[in-house]
Amino acid sequence: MSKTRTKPLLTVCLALTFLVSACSNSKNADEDNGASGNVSATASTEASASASASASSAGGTASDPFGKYDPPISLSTFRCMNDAETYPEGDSIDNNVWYRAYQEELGVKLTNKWTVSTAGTTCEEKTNLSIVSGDLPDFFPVNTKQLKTLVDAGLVEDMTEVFDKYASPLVKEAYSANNGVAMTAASFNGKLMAIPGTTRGLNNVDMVWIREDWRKKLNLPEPNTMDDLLNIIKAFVSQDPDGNGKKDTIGLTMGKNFYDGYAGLAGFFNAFHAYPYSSASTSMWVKDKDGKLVYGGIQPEMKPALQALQDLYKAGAIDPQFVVYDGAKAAEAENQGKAGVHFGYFWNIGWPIDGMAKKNNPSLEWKPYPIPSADGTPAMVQVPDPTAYSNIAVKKGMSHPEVVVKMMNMFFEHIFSENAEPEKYHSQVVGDKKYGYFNYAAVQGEHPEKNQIAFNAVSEAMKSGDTSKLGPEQKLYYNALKAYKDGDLTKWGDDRTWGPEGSFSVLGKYKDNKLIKINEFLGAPTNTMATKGSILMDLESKMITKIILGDPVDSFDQYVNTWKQSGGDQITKEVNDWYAQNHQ
Amino acid sequence: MNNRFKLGNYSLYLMLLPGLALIVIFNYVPMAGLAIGFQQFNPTKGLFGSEYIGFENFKYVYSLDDTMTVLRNTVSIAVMKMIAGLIVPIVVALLLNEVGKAYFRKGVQTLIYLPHFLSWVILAGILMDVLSPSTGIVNQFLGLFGIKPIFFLGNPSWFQPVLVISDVWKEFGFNTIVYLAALTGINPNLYEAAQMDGAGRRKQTWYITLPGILPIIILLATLSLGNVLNAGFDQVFNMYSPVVYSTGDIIDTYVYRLGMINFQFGVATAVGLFKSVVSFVLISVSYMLAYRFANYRIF
Repeated sequence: MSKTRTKPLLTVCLALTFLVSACSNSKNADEDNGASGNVSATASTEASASASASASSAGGTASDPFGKYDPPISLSTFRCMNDAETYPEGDSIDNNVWYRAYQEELGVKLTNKWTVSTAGTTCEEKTNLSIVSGDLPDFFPVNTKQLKTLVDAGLVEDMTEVFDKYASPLVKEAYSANNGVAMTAASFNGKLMAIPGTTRGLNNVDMVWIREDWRKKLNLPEPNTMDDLLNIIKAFVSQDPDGNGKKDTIGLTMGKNFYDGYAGLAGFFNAFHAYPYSSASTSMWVKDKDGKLVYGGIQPEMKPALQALQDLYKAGAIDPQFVVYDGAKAAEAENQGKAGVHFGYFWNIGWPIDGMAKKNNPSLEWKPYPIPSADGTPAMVQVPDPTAYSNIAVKKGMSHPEVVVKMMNMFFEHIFSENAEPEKYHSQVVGDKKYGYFNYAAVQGEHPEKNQIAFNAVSEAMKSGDTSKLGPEQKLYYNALKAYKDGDLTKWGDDRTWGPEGSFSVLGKYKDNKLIKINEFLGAPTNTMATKGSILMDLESKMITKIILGDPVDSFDQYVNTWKQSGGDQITKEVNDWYAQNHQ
Repeated sequence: MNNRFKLGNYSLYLMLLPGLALIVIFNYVPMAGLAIGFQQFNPTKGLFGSEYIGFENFKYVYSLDDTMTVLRNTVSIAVMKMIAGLIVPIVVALLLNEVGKAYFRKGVQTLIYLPHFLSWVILAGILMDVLSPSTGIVNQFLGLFGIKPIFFLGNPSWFQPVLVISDVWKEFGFNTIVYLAALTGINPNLYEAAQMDGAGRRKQTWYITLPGILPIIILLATLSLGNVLNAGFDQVFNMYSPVVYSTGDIIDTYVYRLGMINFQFGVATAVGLFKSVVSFVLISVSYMLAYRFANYRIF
């Protein structure tokens, strides 16, 4: 269960460290918002300057989004960090550029009660333990499930008012994007019970990555339909695409976690208009023809998709070892040039595909394609959860709940605003080391569509040659694209992300053509989901694995019955109750 | 006289106190937490605020379709591991004991002891490569004899043997050392006397060495019986997959998937209690048997 939660997060973190690209700038957000964004930026700097100058009483000027505390206050939190995180000499997660900035700019001395790895389930378990034992710091990151427990027990502060009062215009703008969907999961009965952190947005959807050089070599058409794609997959096994005379290639790379953002199967099912479960325990709920919410994984559309997978397996296009491989292990074949197709997310260029690989092997080419459709209707890709990855909850009775909002303001100010200093606060390459400073920040957020905005801005600039509208980081991508055009193959990764054939062009197509299907259920897990949900997910992955390996496809019907009887019907009822309550 | 003994006893009791306190605080007091197994436990309401639901958690686990499979797997894997884990080290220790050259004996001893220090997370990764049907060294070797590649980790009938063999391989070095230590305790005069009587190597082993280490064998066997429901969470968890659930899923991994991390502490505690009760009964019985047949006793 927790694996499902942390794996994508971990991979995304990894991707973030590999790609500057993934954390871009929301300059366009300012543009959309016209002058207000700019005004806020300048006003806030002045305000914080005046606040510190006047040395006002504790708490700073009333509702000043950047007010400094004088005398300084001490606060505690806890952190979950990627094992691969690097720190400049002398710095650590307890003392770094962000923690020093909190002290200097906000007068907040922040200490970490503990720090654990994001790997596996450590973080979730340790956080659960803190919640159970009541040993909570002043503010801390939690997932939706944990937040629900805390809210039920009345252990966290209501943040509605504080957010309204203290959030900077830039932050408010970011959180109202996509109809404010980021706030949904942190809101209970209309009250905001935590500040949503980094959002999933609409970017974590499947696309299909294909070894373009292989496809061209074998003279296969682009995957415009699912049949094209299935042919490509089969040809990559049978027609010796790497040309070494041996039958040693894999068609479709898969891992044992079908819902992962790399080598998962969500995109495969989506091509057949089927929407199985995914990384979010609450997914994937779709509307049936009567407007009722039904679970995607038990709909009849699943069957042709399962049949197609089984056929691929029979044709030898899937490595049987997928059942024991996690993403990293599955990626090995691909990195050794032995596999050519996988379903995954936009950041797959970066990880597991090495964005620098083309330098050593100039003929290598990967290209992301939108998910093709198995029939005439365009395929829609599923977004199980566009809400926040993590929410920052504030312990009940904490004297300065607004401090979390101020820290969020600071994050946006230093990274996304006009006065951003990305080299100091976001990431920097020093020598041969790359430091992702933004990961040190205890409170992080982003505009959910910031990457898409950056892509549009950079594409525009590439066409017109006018770079005046680009923000500091968008400029970075622009320069990388230019360099790639001029033959610098180390910038291949940037081209595959931001370029005209890059992954954000695919995401842009989804968004422009409204091909994104958002989970209809965005609440916290219901009671029965909490008790029975993991059994049901277990049943489903067992069913999918076994059918791929040769069980009759009709055993799907039996699974549907078991699913319904083992709590599925009850969950369906609870989900529809939630929907009725929240969509009147 | 009497007084001095009493004084001596008092100071001994006094020295016992810290250890006793540790056991009471860390082993007995937490037993109160067993109540969670009978509750609809809500962590934020705590042990005293949660609602009691009697045996509901036990019934729930029992009602799940897979429970019997899982229980059967656990027992069969654990029993196979216990038997293999008992015989292999004894045989190896006896063989090593016959080796004259000290450097060879010490070298082997160290080498077979090494895997004990590797965690299953690492070993599972290694095994996945070694046993891979396409590139694994084992299947390439089998290929020399014309045997088709076997997908050891993805084949339900192979999965249990793989678990048992890899576990024995990892742990037999440790127990071998215990037996070797016991072997040094056998009086050399016995061997000399046997030689005088014309007993060969095999007879010496059978009539002197084995009976000499029998108490240790019984002790280790008795203690391992307590593990009959522990089939090795880390090992299975790192090596299994949905394909081999039918033979590889054990109680611990099942409970883990059921929702250890979904705040389902009630169910997890109920299963834990069940495991403890079974282990307690088995240890008691085996202890009585050990006392009756080998005259071995702790108290």
